[in-house]
Amino acid sequence: MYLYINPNKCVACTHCVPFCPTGAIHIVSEGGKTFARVDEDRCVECWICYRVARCPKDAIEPTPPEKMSFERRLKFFFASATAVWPETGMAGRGTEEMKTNDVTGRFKFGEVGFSLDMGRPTGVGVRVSDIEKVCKAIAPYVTFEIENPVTKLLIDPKTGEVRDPKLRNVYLLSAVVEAKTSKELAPKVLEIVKEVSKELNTVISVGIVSRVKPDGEPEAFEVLRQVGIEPRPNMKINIGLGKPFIGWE
Amino acid sequence: MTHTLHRMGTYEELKEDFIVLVMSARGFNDKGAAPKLAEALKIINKYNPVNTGDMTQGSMYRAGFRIKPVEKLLEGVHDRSIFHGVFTDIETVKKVIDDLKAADLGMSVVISGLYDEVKKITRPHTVNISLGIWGKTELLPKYEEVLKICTMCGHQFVSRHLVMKLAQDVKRGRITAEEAAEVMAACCSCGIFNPVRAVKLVKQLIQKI
Repeated sequence: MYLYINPNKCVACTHCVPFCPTGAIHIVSEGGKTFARVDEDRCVECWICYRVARCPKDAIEPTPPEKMSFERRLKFFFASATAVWPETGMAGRGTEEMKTNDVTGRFKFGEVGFSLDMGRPTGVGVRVSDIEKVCKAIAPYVTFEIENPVTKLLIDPKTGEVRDPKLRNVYLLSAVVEAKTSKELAPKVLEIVKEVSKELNTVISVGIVSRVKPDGEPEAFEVLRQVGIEPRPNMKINIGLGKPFIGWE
Repeated sequence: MTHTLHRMGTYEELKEDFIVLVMSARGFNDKGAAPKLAEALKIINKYNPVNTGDMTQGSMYRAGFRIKPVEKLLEGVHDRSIFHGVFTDIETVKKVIDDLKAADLGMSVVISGLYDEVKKITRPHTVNISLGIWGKTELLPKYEEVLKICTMCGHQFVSRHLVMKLAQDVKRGRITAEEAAEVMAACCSCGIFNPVRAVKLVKQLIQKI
């Protein structure tokens, strides 16, 4: 069961078609009738067509997650900003990562975090096989974030290999690989990601996390200078107002 | 999550695009956080953000939220609410941050935007640095304006196909660029989409299509 457009209600008005981030809705003609159909593989269960486009004929009929197969539920939760994973109790595609680092101390001086947002942006999407390629390549050099759904559900955090080979072909809207390593190993990890990204049939929005030194320079800038990568000028910046407070030193 | 990172644009364009996020930390300070988060939302709202929302409830552009967005969001505030406000200049962000500091809520505050600008108004603690898009970049949209618009929703809920369709509608005079931006903003459930920037980008895009 997956998100379904009821051909008996659909009048092929095409209103929903452009709302789909992955281009999974097509107009087809069959048995003398023209209607919109969802490509089961390309559909990532984001429900934008259902929630925002709002079909004038109520022809869009999503399947509730509890009635979905495990593969469809993976799609649904990896495409949701808010749904709470039954397996992990966490909401969304990733973790709080550095957003609450002033309180949790998840990233310390001397450590570099990685947020590899695979399949993003613009609805490119990602197959689990491509996530596995990246995770296998970096696994010897990083510790994967255990609360992250990629680590919890898809890959073995020791080897980076997919837990269930049947999942390799599942197509997701995106998935964030979260991991961290030492400042010394971080250049190696970036070089590996750069190399393996050439073999992928998708894109990665790459982010790295670090503490900011008292002089105002992010510690990760030292890593970027070593590998000759220029950071973009915009960042996500935790300004240290959370309590319990993890000090500057 | 990295939903506010990786917004594409030139330095000048990004000078009009800052997001302030406030949240509690699960297992550390989330119990009883709701009133503090509500106070943070009131501070954000005081400075008229161009978009606002709670990741767990939706944005001000959600149907039914348009008339009284903050009141609606305050009705549903809870310990794990994640509030966002989008602002178009760093001067206003400074006022928001000064008020948040004075309120001393103990909640984590994250600013997404130009590092050199943010550094001028407050002291950074931890950063997530965007290194751009790697891999098979030929799969990305042909027009840079589409990429810039779509990356204003990190969950990819603003479809590249919808952006092109709405731009065509604007070009044909069926809708205005402002109306197009509102439809796009409604797709972004967290309230981090910047409709003011989107209007400018749509107007640039229709010159090319």
